[in-house]
Amino acid sequence: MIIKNTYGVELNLPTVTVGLRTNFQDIPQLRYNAVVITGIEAYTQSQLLSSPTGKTIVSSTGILGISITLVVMDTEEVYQLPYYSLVSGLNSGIVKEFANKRINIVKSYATILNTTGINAGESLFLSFMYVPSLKN
Amino acid sequence: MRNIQMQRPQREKPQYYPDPVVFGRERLIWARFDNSSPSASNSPIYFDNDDVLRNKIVTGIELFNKNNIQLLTDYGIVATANGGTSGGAYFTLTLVGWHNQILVNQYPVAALSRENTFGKTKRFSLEVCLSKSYVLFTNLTGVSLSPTDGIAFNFHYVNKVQS
Repeated sequence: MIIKNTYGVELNLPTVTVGLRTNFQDIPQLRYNAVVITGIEAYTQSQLLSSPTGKTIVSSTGILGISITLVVMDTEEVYQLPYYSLVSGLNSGIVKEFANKRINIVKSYATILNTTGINAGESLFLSFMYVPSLKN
Repeated sequence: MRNIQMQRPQREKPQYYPDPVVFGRERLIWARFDNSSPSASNSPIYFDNDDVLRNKIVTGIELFNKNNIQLLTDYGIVATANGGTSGGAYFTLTLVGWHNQILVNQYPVAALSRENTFGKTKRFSLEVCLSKSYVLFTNLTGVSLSPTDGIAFNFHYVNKVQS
């Protein structure tokens, strides 16, 4: 894929419990009426040890217990996608592409399915590839 | 008589860029530590002002480390893409456009290495103002990097088509 804009998004996991859902924070640059998402790339400690806010990134063992759900408007269009599948470094370098989705980022979330290898306070870090919406 | 001709909504004039699949030229560009080892979190390391990217479209970026090349100049480069005590996994890359708009925000540099792209250069389509762009050191644990090292990126670019 050809990247035109990316935005790094951190999702902190303050507590680690099976079934816990943690929503993404509001990112003004990625609001659903401003951009369309063309791809998402995720990382483990192998690609980034600490987030820009100084939080430790979840390890490659820990990400096996995490899934991502992406919401478009109020619909969970991408439901429980394994986080592993978004890590391009573990998937032959391929970035997961999306068909111009207008993702409602504050309603999208990560779910902890297994706590092995995840410590409280660690963060997930993802890059959202996007293009600005056309002006009318 | 009133003119009732309907007007079409004005749209921005599209810009046509060359096909980014074809790499035109490439240039090794450094973010150097300049004898000041990055030891504090969130200290940006700016690129040298390099006019070679003016009026150019960046079509691809690679990260080099000592697994790929040893020394090109009197500066060293980070030892490994991932982890270790001097790896690229401590850094993110932010690229800024000519109108101060952030194009690439906090992109982990290790994700640009051949170890993580499996030899496939990450493809972009960006007009980058290099002197405003920077690499950010994100580690808090006080890892010490060699002050004479730097991070070497290979920027692929093509000329911007003038309309």
